[in-house]
Amino acid sequence: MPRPLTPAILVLAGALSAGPGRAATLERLSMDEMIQQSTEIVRGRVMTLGVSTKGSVLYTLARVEVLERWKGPSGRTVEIWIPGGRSGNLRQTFSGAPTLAVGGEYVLFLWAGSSGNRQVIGFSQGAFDVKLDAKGSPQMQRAASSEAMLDERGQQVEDVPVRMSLAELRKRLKSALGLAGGAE
Amino acid sequence: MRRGLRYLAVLLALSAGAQAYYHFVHFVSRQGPFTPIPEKFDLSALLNKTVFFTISETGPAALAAGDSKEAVVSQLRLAAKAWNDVPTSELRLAFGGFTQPGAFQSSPLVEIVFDEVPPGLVALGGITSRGTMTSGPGGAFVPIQRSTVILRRDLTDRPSWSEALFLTMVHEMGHALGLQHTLTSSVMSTEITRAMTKAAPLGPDDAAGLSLLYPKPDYLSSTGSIAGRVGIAGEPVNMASVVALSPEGSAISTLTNPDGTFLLQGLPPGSYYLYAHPLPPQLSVESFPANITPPSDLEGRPIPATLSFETLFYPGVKDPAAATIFPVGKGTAIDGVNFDVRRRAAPAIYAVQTYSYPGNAAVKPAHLNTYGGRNYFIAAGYGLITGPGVTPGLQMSVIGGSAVIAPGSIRPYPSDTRYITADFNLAPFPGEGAKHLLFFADNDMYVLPGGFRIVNRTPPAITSITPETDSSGAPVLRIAGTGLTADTRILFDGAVATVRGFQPATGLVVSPPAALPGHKAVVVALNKDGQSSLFLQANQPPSVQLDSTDAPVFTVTPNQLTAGTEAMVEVQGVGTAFQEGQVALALGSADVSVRRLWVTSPNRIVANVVVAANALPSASMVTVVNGLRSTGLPDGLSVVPGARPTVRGAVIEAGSGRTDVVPGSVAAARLSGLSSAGALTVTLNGLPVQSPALNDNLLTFTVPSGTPTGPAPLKVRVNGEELPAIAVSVDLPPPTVAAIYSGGTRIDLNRPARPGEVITVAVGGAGELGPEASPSRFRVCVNDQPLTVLQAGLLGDGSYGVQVQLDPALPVGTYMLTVAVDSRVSPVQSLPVK
Repeated sequence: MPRPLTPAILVLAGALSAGPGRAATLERLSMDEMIQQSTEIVRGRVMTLGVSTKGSVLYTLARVEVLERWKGPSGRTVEIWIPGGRSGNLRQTFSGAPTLAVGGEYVLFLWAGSSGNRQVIGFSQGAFDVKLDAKGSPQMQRAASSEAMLDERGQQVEDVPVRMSLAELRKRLKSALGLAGGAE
Repeated sequence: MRRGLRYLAVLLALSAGAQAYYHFVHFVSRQGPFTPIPEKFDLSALLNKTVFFTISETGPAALAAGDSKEAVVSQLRLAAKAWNDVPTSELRLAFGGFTQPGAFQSSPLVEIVFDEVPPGLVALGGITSRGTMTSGPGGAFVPIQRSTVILRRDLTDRPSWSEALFLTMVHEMGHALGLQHTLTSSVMSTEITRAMTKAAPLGPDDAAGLSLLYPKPDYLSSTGSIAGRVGIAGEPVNMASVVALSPEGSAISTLTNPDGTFLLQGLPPGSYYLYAHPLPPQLSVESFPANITPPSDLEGRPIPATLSFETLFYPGVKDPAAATIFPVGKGTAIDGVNFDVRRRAAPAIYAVQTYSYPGNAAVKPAHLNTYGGRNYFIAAGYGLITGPGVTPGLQMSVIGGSAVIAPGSIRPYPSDTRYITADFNLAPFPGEGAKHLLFFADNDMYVLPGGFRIVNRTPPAITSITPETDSSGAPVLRIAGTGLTADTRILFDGAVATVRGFQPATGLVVSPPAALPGHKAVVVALNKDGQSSLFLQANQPPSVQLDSTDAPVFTVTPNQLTAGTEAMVEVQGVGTAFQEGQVALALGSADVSVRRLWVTSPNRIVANVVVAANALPSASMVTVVNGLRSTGLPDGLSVVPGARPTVRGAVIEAGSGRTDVVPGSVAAARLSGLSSAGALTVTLNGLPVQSPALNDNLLTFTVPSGTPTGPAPLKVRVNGEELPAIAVSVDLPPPTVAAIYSGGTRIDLNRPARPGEVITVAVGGAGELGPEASPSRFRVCVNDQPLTVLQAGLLGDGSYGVQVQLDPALPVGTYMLTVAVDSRVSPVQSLPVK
């Protein structure tokens, strides 16, 4: 029987393998990391989808009505840049980019860099469907991504599915961010 | 729209049966005909069939400790080289220089930019601009105008030397060239089945995918195909993955069309199982199953994948022992291989990956060593674990008989019960390379192509790097370590070092690449079996500070070229230390490209440059990349409008068609743009040539005897009008194989060579290479397969003896042996083996 490896050693997994799996290559973010690294966290409903360009790349612009906000500056709507889109005959697809539908309700962990353009953190990792559970309570959910997932050292790890009630999320956000309430 | 449909119908009538593979595909309509129309670069519109990749001049904004932009660029060039080295593909990738993101270029290209991406995203890539559907020799296609690879601007957590970033670069470049995801452990696979390493980044499916888009002329005739259909109770299955699985370890796949048909092309001769499996389930907020973009109709509406079904080997079995084995030969076309599969809600198992631990870091896929060591692996994936234990009824086996899994040995991995482990017993002489795994659970099976690899030696490791000098006083580095072989490639960041010699006891001697002052390069050893020194040294790879001169400077002459012409440019520098094989000249525009380049001295490069006829007037940065050093000259080359006669294409030897001409032979050059014929004056290397003639724009002349080897400027004046000078490659005649020996005995039909034998090839006409020629100057091939040159040296008769070892598994037969000295290749010599 070989020497059992400790989880600490397992963390090194994929130093050789942490390559791409999708058109996008992702690194896994824990819920706490997403909470800390996002610049805005909102629950919202997609109002419109538009398109813009940056260099040669098309971006779908999703305008989202904010139903609830836990992090970030106030505002009734947010505009989110998602790589890929369609403009006239030009169509660009970046597999792995989150797909938001008009009318769909989501919990979104957003990030804006120096350009100020908001993007979903971790591609699909930061976008959660909001659905009602069997008792009629809203919960956010996301299946494990099949994208290549890397940890913070660039090493491959598995993603895990996430399913959490909004009440639980609020409690966790309150704990992580020290919120006093603050829903918009 | 109707006009478009008519146009398409004509195109399709012209098209040959096209493959599906996992390309970005269109169909004329949702009702058919289902002749795939892929998106790809139009090679007929590219000089030398070369796509240029440009790198955003802004570069990454932040780097890991000790990292540099030069190191990142070198890794990007190495990633491009992986695709460039596919021998059955005509597409070539070349570095086009540093540009501003989104800068206008009239020629197709791949641009690599560093951009602001959110945390959790490392890179993405894809096709960003397409042309109008057109027709080519392989059928209708949509030409790619531009592809874009976006890497994160902040690479603080992504060392450039890491396997992670390198394979990401290779993968995203694959998308840029027109490849989608596969499920066959290739670099284009999803993380579910990917099992590539930096030492062996591409799998057979990657090579097939690229070659089917950009085939060499003999590709389809030198490979075979299998065609058929996948259906559920007679209904067609769209986007079923059909995989040809060689028991020896390769896997090549395709997707079915909306009518369920498939055509699996590019199968190298051999025996194959065939199986059909569904794509893994589509996940929340993901665009498509496996993130494979489905084919679309003319309106761009996707034709989605059919729902899940049971995986089956042909002819409808789950036991490979009962499966049909298809013998495939060159040009073999097998048809009528139809699968009738059963619907299933979801696959029982998917997303399986394996790991092993040759050291303290995990290696994926698992590598099992026939010489012992820590020979076990662990596996993770959906469906392997249920609750606290192994999924009830889970079975696991190895396809091909190279290993056996001990019955009842599958168990949760003690340290982390999200994983399973099992006991393996390797068969005697299991053979090296990728091996396939088969999993069973809940009456469903899952095949993991290349699920693990068998290797015959431990991974390489570097223990010391010692500066030395060679016999000419030039600096070299001695790389000592374990597991190093004569075939080991040494990387300094992403630059492959030139190997000068190898001794098992003392290691490799290499010429270090040029670098900027103070550059510290990470050194990695890559072995042919796919293992690298990162297997054991991933966390602290050795590094070395490279000697270098001050920042070099250079000039470009001429620095102005006319659109639509070809011309010789000379790069003359100070402190440049150019090295043959390490230099690339990038002209900052896909509209200005290098046809051929010569390094004539450490301070001089000569290149023939082609300017596209539709190139816009502009001035661009000229970049010389030499090893790890990129030196730019802003506005180094300008394009001006105008109409000027020019030499078109390479100057060739009239008799042989070779692009290297021999003194005394007749050379030919095609001219274009001449307003009229008239008085003709031709000089080569400053001397008038003999008997120049110009007929139908074809210039012929005799190359003066005594013309020195190397690029010689050809100057042509017709009717008083001077064409831009062009370089003619003057070279020695090809080398010859004078004889082949084993010991002192000559190899011939009476004394054939033996498999595994060390033979000495006597090479005549090699030129002046010195008494101890560098083995790297020679390349010996048997049936086009290169052998490792053990040593080379001057023989008494003036020829060179080149020592190689034949493959111990070489079957009895007569082989074609060739020897190349640098770029000169000998005629074929027969090699009997018994």
